[in-house]
Amino acid sequence: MTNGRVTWWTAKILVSTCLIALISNVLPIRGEEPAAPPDELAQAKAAYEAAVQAAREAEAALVPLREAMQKADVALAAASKTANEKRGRANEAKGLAGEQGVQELKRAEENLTAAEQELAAAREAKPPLDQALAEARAAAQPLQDAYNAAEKAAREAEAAAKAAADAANKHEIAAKQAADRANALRRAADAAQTSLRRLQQLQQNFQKQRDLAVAQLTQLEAEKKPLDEALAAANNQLTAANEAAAQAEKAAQEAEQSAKQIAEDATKSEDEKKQAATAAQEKRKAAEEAKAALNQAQAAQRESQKQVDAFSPKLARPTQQKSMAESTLANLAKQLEAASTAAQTAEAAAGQAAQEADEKRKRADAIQAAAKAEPAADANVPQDIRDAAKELVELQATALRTAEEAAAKRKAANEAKAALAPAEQALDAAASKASAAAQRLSQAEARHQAAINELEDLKKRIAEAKQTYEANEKAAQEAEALVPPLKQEADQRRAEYMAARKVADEKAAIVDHARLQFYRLSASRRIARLMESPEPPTPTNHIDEIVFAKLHSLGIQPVLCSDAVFVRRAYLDIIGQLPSAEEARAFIESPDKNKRTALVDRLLNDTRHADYWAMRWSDILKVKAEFPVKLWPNAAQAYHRWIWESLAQNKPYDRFARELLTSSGSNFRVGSVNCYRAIPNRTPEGIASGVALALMGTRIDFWPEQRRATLSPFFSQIGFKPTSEWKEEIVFWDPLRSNTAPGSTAAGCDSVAAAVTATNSIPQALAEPLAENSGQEVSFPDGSKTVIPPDRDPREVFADWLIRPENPWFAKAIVNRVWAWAMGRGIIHEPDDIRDDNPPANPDLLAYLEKELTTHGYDLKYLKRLIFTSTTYQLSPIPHYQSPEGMVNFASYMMRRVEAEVLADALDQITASSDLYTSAVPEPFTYIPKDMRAVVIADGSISSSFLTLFGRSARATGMENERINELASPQWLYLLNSGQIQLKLQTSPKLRALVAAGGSNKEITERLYLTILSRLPTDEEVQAMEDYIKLGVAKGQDAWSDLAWALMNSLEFLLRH
Amino acid sequence: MAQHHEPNRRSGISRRRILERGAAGAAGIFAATHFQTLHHLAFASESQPNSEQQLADEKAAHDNAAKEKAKAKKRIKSVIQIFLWGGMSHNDTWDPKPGTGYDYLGSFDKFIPTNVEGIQLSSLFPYLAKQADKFSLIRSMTHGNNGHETAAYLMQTGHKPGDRLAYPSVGAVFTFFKREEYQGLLPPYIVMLQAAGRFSEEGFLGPAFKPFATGGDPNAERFEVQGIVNRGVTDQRQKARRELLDKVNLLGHGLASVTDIEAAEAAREKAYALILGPGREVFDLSNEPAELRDRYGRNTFGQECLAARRMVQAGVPYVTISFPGGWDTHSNHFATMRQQCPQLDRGLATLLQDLHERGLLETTLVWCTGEFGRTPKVSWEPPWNGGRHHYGDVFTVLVAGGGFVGGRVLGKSDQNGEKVAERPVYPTDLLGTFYLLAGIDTKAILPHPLGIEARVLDAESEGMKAAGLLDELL
Repeated sequence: MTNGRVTWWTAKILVSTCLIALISNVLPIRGEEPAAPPDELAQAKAAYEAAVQAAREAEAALVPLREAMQKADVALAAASKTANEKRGRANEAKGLAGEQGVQELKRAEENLTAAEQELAAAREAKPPLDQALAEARAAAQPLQDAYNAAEKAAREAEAAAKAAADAANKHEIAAKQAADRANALRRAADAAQTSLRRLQQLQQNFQKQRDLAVAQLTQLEAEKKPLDEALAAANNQLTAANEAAAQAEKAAQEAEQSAKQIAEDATKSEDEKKQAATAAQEKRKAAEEAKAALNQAQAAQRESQKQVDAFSPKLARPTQQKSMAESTLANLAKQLEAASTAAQTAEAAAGQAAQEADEKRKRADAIQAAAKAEPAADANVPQDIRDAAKELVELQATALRTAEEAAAKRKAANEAKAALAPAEQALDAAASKASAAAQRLSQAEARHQAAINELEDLKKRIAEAKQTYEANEKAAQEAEALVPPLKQEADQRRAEYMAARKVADEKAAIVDHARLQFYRLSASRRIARLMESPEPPTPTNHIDEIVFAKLHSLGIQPVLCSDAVFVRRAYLDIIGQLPSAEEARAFIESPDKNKRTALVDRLLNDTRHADYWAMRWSDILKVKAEFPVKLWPNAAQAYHRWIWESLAQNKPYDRFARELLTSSGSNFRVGSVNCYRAIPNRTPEGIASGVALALMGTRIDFWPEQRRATLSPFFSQIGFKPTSEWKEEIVFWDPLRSNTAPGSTAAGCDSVAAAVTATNSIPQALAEPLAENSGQEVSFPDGSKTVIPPDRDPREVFADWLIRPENPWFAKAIVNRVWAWAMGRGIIHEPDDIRDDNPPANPDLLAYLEKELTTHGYDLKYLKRLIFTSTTYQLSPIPHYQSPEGMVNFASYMMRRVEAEVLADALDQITASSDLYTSAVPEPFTYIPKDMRAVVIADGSISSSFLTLFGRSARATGMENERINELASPQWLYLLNSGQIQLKLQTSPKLRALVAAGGSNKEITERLYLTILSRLPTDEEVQAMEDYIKLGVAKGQDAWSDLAWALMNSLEFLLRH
Repeated sequence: MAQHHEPNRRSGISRRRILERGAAGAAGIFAATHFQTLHHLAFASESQPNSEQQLADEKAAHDNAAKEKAKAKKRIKSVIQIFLWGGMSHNDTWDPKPGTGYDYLGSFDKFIPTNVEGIQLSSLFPYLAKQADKFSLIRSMTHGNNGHETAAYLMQTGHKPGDRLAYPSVGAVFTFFKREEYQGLLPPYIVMLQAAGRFSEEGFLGPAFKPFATGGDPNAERFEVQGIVNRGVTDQRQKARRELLDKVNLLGHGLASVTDIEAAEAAREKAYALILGPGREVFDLSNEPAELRDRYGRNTFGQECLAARRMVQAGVPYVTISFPGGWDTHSNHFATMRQQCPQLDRGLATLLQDLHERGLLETTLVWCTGEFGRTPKVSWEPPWNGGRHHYGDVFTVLVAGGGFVGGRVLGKSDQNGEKVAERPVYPTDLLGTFYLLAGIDTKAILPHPLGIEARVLDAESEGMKAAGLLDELL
């Protein structure tokens, strides 16, 4: 990178198992280091330091230039902004001042002309219409007058006719009025009667109520009377008893007094005393008896009183009822009296009125009859009637006459009105035309005025705009004139800065060059001592004999790696993890001569070996839930579990392959059936291509058409059928292609037929005769032929052909793949590109490994042990040869970047942190427990941005090269300077603990080296850390975190070596 | 220009109009060679409206006209893609529908004229309204797909989703074809701030064409670009610890003559050119005048636009701005729009103006759209309470620069913005025009790891609809 320009792309060279090209300088073998002139290193160091100084000065010179450039930029920006603003204003003003103004003026003038024309027309149109209106008015006037007079006459005549009619009817009217009055009075009298009857009814009701109450009272009082009498008797008895008791008490007291006196009187004899005492006692007894009698009388009286008291409430209700009824009755009596009077009065009035009405009716009828009588009424008719009749006849005649007159006049008025109507219509029309013309005229006048105003305004505005435009244009030009010199100034400053920048960049490039010269020289002198063992390599097994013979023929002398290199290498290659500091130290310090073999045996039996190699197999077999493989999460887990268990149990490889090829069942329950499901293109051709890539290590897409076609028939009868469980799918042998038949889920002809019987429906394929399926003649890619019997699953026929020691692909593909995984490169490269024109680098080696595998029951662990314990596996990573043949013949260990998952786990291991792995589809998202390592993630859809960035396999094609172990700029930016790495280092509890464990700087440095690089530091490295601490740029924990940062960014950490 | 607003009905008259326009837009040779075809078109359309043959002929006419016009244009050097993830409503923004009532307009019932007569925008875009002469709007974009991932795949690859190949995005394809031409230091395909995630931009082209996601926030005091600008590590410490690494990197330095190791070491030096060298200056927005930063808007999107301009200035071929904050406004629609549209307006308008003023717009394509539009009718009912949903039947795309003329509207949606009314534009038409202007042959074969034949665009064999390249906007 020191020559030519550095670009994004130049750094995009793949670092992986690809070719290592010619090496420009052959590296010295340990012990044969050429004695470089001691001053060479010193010279390089001096050149580096001088370059740093020069670059520093160039950088310092940049500062004022940069400031000047920025200042000029700011000035230019401000001036440009001002100029732009002024230009904008000028352009706005230019609108009216320029062509736009002319156009608008033209339009306004046209407007005015049009308005004037319109006005003239309106003015012309109005007078004739006004004239017409006047004429119409004149024509209508006499007709109107005539009509008015006729109408008046008609109305007067009609009034007269009505008066005459009324007069003719006066008797009739009088009779009718009297009848009306009589009717009204009759109704009033009836109402009075009704009211009276209702009151009488009420009176009767209340009388009944009162009588009832009185009867009850009488009965109750009769019941009460004995009780009252009993009470009176009891009272009497009580009074008597009281007196008797009082007398008896008095007598008793006197007797007792007397007895006492006698007893105290010595003069009295004992008998007397005794007599007196007895008498007193008797009296006392009598008093007590009287008292008892009193008590009895009292009780009797109380009882009697109680009975009387208990009776009283019974009396209250009837008493109350009685009194209420009586008061209502009194009231009703008064009302009745009034009502009775009113009824009588009304009756009298009604009778009288009826009589009067009757008389009037009779009279009117008589008059009417007399008037009608022809000839004149006879003499029996009273005179007044006859007079009235005569008058009536005259009045009727008058009424008839006036009515006729009124009708005639009404007719005349109507005729006048009819004559008026057309004249009126003509008048209305003329009036409306005249009014419209007037309106048009006023509108035209308004528009005309507006057009005049607009024109004037526009002229004014144009004049103003012209003025403004000139001013703005001038201002804009002035402002614009200011810009070029400023731009020139800014450009010049920028050019000056850029020139200086270029100088500084050149100096920086010189620094980089000198720096690399120095460090490369320094490192190249120390690297071999660190990586290599002084022991000469001796063959351990037959692998070494074959490889060493080849190397010998190439003139290459292999070198062994050191113990420190071996322990790290074995851990990474076998279990995909770094050794712990303790494990590394213990191994390095162990004196056991057999320790390397012992370590390989231990690691191969560790379940982490199954974890790590299951990850690699999952790449090949495409264990991925989502696009493009779409296994679905449960199935991906089941598939991975099957792979893991196969490896953990060291399942013989022939069985492993057969299970992959011939399994039937549920994708969730039988992991190996996912082999076919993981092939996105599920046509027989697509499946053949996928199977050949995985198990034959070959890309049949590049085979000749005819040979390629041989494989398809074996995969043409695989059925995939859903179940009622979401995304569950049954893979089965389906000779009738009946997977559309409901219920047919199990393998084999019989079960398909049974399903058809059970469901009573015939799938499409059954229409074809079964015989067609029998005895299909097929050939294999190696040219051999066979017949697939109708009762055999073609997959099994294929498996029988494939899984044989003499098959040209099967054993070859697997030993080559295992070798490539262990050694970093296949004997045939790439391991999935076996073809005639891609020969193995060492055919004997390949043949030997094939034989070992097939003769040891396809025991993969045996094969791995054979490889990992060989001396060939233990060679130094330093290539001491020029020929490219050396590398392809495994003369040195293939250095290559650790895979994304292994790197993620290693970073977590050295910092004791964890990462988050998720899958964005399907929802809900899948999350993996925090402490789970990336290597053990089953499903390729579960990932992180780190794993993607570091080239984890997309598991889309099953090809080895889908995994991209690149170390280009994006990966470096992440490792060197990302927030994530910085955070991991700064917050690492493990790094903190390693420092906190104390001791000298050297001891802490040793702990960090063992943890991160699995080795002890050299003296120079310990010194480098001492110097860094002294420099003081980072202090305390930060300084140690920078050492960890430097170590994890060294290629020794990032590459297997 | 006005004729582009004329109804383009499938009638003889409009056919003749196309004919006139085509003839006027291209050189005489074109008119001579294509007259016959066009004449036939005009004739055929009257007898058999909408026949497949007619549509194919129309497409061919558009394609040919576009190819002729593109000959006179400079090639696209850089692309800035502003992706409105989630899908922005077209009704509320660039295809306003005055007079369609509350059910369609919601609370955005104000519209503004632009500096181009006849083009109207929602009043949420006053700044863009002043730059309408610099961009054109495609108001008849359609693909009919309403799923985020599949629609985004359609809009960014032009290929049929769900096929067995995962095609690379237009950004990856563009970068792939510019790999010889681009000699800059920065990553050739940059996305701010994060890649979309659910959609794999690089497709089968592999990680070399994966966009570089900057992370960080350009509106913060320091734009902390992932891996390039690191918080809390000073330049002095960067340099010191680099020296420490040099001292302990025994294998890297000691075996630097081994090709693979040399390449890895070279890549690290390259990374340092970004971390400590001139590359990072592109991300240092403090180099820009404060007034200009204000004009872009002091928010993440505005400053992303400014950063994108600086990247384009540095020659970066493809920059994607994934709008910070989504547009998937099933609910809280109007509030979200009120907040985000002004940012989009300011940032995008200033970007166009700034590119124009620096003479970069001619060779820089700016395009802005989401994966689809949103339902024209507002869902007022719970639980949306005023929301709009996915809508792929018709929506609007903004294109500017890179050979597109400004101040035009192509196509038309119907009265309420629910269907294409005129001139449908399919993803393959849109991306095909981009590739045309970039000088990328759409029939060119992309490298697939399994050797499967995969082309830049392949609408025909995938059975995708196409209505012809966008000659009307060239």
